[in-house]
Amino acid sequence: MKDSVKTSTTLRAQLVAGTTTHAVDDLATNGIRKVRVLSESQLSSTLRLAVNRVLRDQLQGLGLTAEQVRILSDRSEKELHELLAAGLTSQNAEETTTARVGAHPSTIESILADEQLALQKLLHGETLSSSITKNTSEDLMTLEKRIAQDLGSLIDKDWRNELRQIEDSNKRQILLLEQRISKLVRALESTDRVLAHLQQQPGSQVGPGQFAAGAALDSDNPLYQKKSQLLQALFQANLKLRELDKERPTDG
Amino acid sequence: MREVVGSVVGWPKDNVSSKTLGKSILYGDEALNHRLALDLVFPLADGNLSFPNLNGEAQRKSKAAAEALMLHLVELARARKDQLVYAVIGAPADATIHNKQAILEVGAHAGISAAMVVSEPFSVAYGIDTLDDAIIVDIGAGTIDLCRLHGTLPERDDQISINRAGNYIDQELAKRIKARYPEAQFSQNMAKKAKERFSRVIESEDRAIVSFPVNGRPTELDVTAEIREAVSLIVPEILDAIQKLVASFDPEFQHRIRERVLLSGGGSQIFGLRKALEDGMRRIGGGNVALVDEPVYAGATGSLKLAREMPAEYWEKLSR
Repeated sequence: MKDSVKTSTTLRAQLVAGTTTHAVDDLATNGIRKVRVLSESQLSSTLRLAVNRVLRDQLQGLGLTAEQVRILSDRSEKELHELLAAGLTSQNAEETTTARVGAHPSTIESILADEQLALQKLLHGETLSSSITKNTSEDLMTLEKRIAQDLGSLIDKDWRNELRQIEDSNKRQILLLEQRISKLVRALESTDRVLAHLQQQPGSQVGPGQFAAGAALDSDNPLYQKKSQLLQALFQANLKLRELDKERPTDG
Repeated sequence: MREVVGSVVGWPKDNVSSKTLGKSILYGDEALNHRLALDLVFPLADGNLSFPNLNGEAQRKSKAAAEALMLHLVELARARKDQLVYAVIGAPADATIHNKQAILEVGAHAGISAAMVVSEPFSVAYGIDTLDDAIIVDIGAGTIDLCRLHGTLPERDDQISINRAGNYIDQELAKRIKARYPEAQFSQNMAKKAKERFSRVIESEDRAIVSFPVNGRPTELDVTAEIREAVSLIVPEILDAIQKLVASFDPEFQHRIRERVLLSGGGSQIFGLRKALEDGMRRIGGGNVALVDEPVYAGATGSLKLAREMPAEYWEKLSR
């Protein structure tokens, strides 16, 4: 029992040992944007509430008077208060608490059970709770491992969910953009047809200058190779002409 | 859309004519129609810009006319304000470097971002995808340009320009009508219209009757013989040029280019010209002569096609 109590006094140490530490930047990289922070006072008040409730349940079948129950309840409340106030991670507090609670082993067992219950509720909800509540004396090392695993899977799950959501969002965006491109291409083709049609109308105000240059020689054209060579030769001839023109002395 | 503008520019002679016409400058047929109220300038001579060969006031006027005409052509293209204007400009087959530089100078003045100067008959050939084994005969107003095609960009030896073309026919026709009907009153433009209307007479029994004033009174005149003679003047020169191009070609392939002589340009529509040329080609072993589709626009159509198929990077390099 002394071992159990000693173990219980290191609750904070257990909490620390049963968790993994992640840098905030890493969490953000993994897609986790919000982290709920539990204060020690919240944890303490939850423990007090839980201890009190379990104690009353345990005393109910012993045939004690209401006054006796109240005294025991007050005492356990006081003990728990001192225990928590002394600092759960302190070695001194650990020894003091061991001595004080030695007279109340059954109470401490309940406290331990409720601590674990409260802890799993806070950390994981019902999944962890079922395993813990069924066997409160389960080895704490196993419990630590489970908590670590559950926390790990929780983080992984969140990370994968985030990633999947981002991927889905990107796919939707790509699909939307592809649809818009197709629509624009159709609109452009339609505009070209209308322009070509208008150009053939008498009194048309559509000029050839309104068509874009570089309608690109179609590579499927049987004369593609020959035309490409001719266009290149023509370009070179005109480039040379332009160079000669630059060298020409200007008037005056 | 097609726009055709004669290469003539007219400025009102005075304020009265300017107000009457409501314009500060006129082009093409509109200028010719109001020529009495205008100072007319023809910026081309034998198919080339004439200002480089002129001096003083004549040069200034000719250059101003060329620039104004080019600017007008760019406006007719109706490019958007945010568009760069690229132009393929036809030049006679035998245009010199100086002739081509003059074209680029005028083009730059008109705001053209990049211009390419191309042999006119080559533009025709490009437009109809005939790049091999053919001779193009482009009959314009200032020149008749012949070009031999054998799969490469035509060089100087592949091309011949004849400076007797449509305008020359008009002058000869007017001269002949004047000789026969000294009292008739007409301009060269009226002779030109008679030629365009009746050039079919070269191979028909129809009579060409025009109504020209004689002593102020409209009088019908028979000009059939005059038109036939004037139009026929260009045939021997074209035949000579074809023979030169054939004879200077690889003997193994001469028959190929003889078999495909293609006529384009306004002058190619002279009825009977095709047959007259085929008959004349018998002396060099015969050949086939055909008329391209839409011969008046064939050069412009080819130039537009060339401009559009020219890779954009080439245009960009020329515009720097």
